[in-house]
Amino acid sequence: MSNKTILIVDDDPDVRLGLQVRLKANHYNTIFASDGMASIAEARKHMPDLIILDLGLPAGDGFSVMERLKANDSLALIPVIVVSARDRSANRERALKAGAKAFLQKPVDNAKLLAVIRKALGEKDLAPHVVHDLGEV
Amino acid sequence: MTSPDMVLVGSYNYLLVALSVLIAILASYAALDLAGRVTSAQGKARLLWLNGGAMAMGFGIWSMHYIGMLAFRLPIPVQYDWPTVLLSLVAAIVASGIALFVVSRHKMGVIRAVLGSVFMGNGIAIMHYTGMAAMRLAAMCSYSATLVTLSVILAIVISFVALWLTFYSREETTAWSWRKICCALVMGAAIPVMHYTGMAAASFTSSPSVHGNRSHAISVSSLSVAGVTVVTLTVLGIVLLTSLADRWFSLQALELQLKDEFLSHVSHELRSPLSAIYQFASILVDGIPGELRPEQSEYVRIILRNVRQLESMIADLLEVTRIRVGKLNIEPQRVSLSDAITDTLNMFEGSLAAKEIALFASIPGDLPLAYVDPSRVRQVLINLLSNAIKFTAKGGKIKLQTRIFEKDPSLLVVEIADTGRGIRPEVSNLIFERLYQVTDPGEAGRKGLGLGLYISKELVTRQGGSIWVTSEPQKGSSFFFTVPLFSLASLISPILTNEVKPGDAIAVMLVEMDSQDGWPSPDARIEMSNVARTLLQLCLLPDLDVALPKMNSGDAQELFFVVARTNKHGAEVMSRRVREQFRRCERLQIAGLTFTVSYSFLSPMSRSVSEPMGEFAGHVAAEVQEHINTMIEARRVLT
Repeated sequence: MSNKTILIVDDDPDVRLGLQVRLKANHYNTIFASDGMASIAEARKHMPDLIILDLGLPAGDGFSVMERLKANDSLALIPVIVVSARDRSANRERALKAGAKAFLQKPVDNAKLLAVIRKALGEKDLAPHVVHDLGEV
Repeated sequence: MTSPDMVLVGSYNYLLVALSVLIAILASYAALDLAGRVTSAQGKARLLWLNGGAMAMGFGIWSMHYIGMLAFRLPIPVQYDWPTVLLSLVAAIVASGIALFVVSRHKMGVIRAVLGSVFMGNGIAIMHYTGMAAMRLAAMCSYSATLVTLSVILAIVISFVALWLTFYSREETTAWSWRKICCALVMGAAIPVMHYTGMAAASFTSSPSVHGNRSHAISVSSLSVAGVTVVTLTVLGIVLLTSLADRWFSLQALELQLKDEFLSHVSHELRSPLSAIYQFASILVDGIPGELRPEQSEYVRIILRNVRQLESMIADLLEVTRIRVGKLNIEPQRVSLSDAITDTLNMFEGSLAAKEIALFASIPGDLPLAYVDPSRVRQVLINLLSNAIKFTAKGGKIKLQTRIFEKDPSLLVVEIADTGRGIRPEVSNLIFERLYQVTDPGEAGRKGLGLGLYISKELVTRQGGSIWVTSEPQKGSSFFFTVPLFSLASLISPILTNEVKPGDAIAVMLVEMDSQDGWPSPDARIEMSNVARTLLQLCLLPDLDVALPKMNSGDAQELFFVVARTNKHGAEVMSRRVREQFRRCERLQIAGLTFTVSYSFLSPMSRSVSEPMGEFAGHVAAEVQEHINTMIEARRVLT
């Protein structure tokens, strides 16, 4: 049973709730932020185990959030998974360069999302066939 | 008859004066229009507009000036020295060129405007007085210093006003506007003011002994006045028409770009709500808030299926936008087409079973490797297979075959035949057009966006293949597409045909990338491999070196091969360059990667005169391949 905490950063409340329900069902705690500034503040306050980050955000987009996380010694090690509606071909490389562990395009496949999360948290994988596909995520 | 040493009183032909003013206005209007074109053009087109514009405008100003001169009648015959006349035309063109250059910059401060107008004004004055000097008549010409100065000052002031007006009205996107017409009227009226002041500055004293050099002098008849006028009006007319056409086309291009940007924006915005629908529907299906009854579950699954459909439509829309703006990314590799096909077929197991369609695939095991982007080929296969399934009735058959193309052995052909309704011959080409849809989808249900085949066609043709269909109504259709075979020979032949320096040979360089602490993830490995490939490209000289694609499938992401036409010294320089480039790359260092660079030469070979290039390239390619195999084998033994 995992009791890891995941910070969900997205400006769309429906997306936040959807992710929360899904992650809770998989025994993760969730906390939220709806903009770039708040995400850094929340990360500092709660030191989450992982951050799910949207790219298009008010008050500092996903890339600048990753930059600020990287610049902070205690936050730099928190793995970040980018989940965005933006175009994969134009943003995946850039997100990975900025330090993201993976780039997932919305609407994100649940099995893939969970596999990526487990991997980023260094947990044992329950669905190896999905992980095999990660290069294509 | 005039008596000697008498001041000659000139008179003006007012019709010609009016004509000169009219030409000045027209030339000004053309200048305003041209400035806008020069500004919006880029690169070569800009240079073309600048040169053409300077010529047309210079010609207009010059012709205004000459007609003004001809409007001035002296009681004695006047001839013109044509080389000097030509010189004055050059002055007008240079002055116009400077003016257009200044006003078409993105910024124009006061200093630049003043400098520009000093040049332009002086240019016009030079043109004017050179033109006057071309006059050959039995009279002394003397100038009033005050009026000459005044005319030069007027020329500069008028140029300044003209530049200023032009700069601030050039952005007008419409072909004409009241503002532009007013500007043209002001400028057009002002230029003759300078001219006639200059004319007034000159006074002629009859002196029969003075003739000047008349060896190149010609007299100007009213016919030639008409000639100059017609030519001028034609030149200016052509310029204005060209400018109008150019404006129209660039507006169209802009509209197209806006439309594509809009499309791209909309597609992104659609994804967010779609994402929420998908999330909650999947939460329900997975029974997270509580188990659903079978019927409820079935309905939510229908929602999910439709979300997937919408999602793929959005992806198609975005792909089309990328095609249209030229951002479609295709990276050909040396890959097995059979692997790509098998991967794709696995994806369709479910939908084939659902419609009880039997699929027969015949893929020869010894199919040669292709030179394509595997993900792009998969995209084409997915499009064609889903169409085949969509249009084939329950219990039908789909056949997939691949082989070397009979009509061109440098290509592989893939054939996908269905037992669907077929396609009417008159539309068999239209179906590859953007937004073409079958008018009656029949059982297939929804129409969709009609982009799949268009995208497939773009993907296939951009990889060097072609796509087509043959069909028999009510019996079925066969879709074909070709992809190029991987050919080391054609890949390296550019460096072989290149001029060869004595002592040059074929070198094969191997760059090995190793991770000290293992690869953190497959993603990281692909990413680093891309970084390394980009770095390697930086070190190559076009026409002399060529980087080979991934040469063996599977695990050797981190082996890079370069074939170069060089000598011992060149190979040394290149490997040093590569080492240096990789050493300096921070991202590779952070990832803890090490690199080894080595090279070796093929046994010396030279092409005999009788050997055709293709054969020679084939021999070299075979040897390169063997060399690479040895290198890979040696590496395998080591690890």
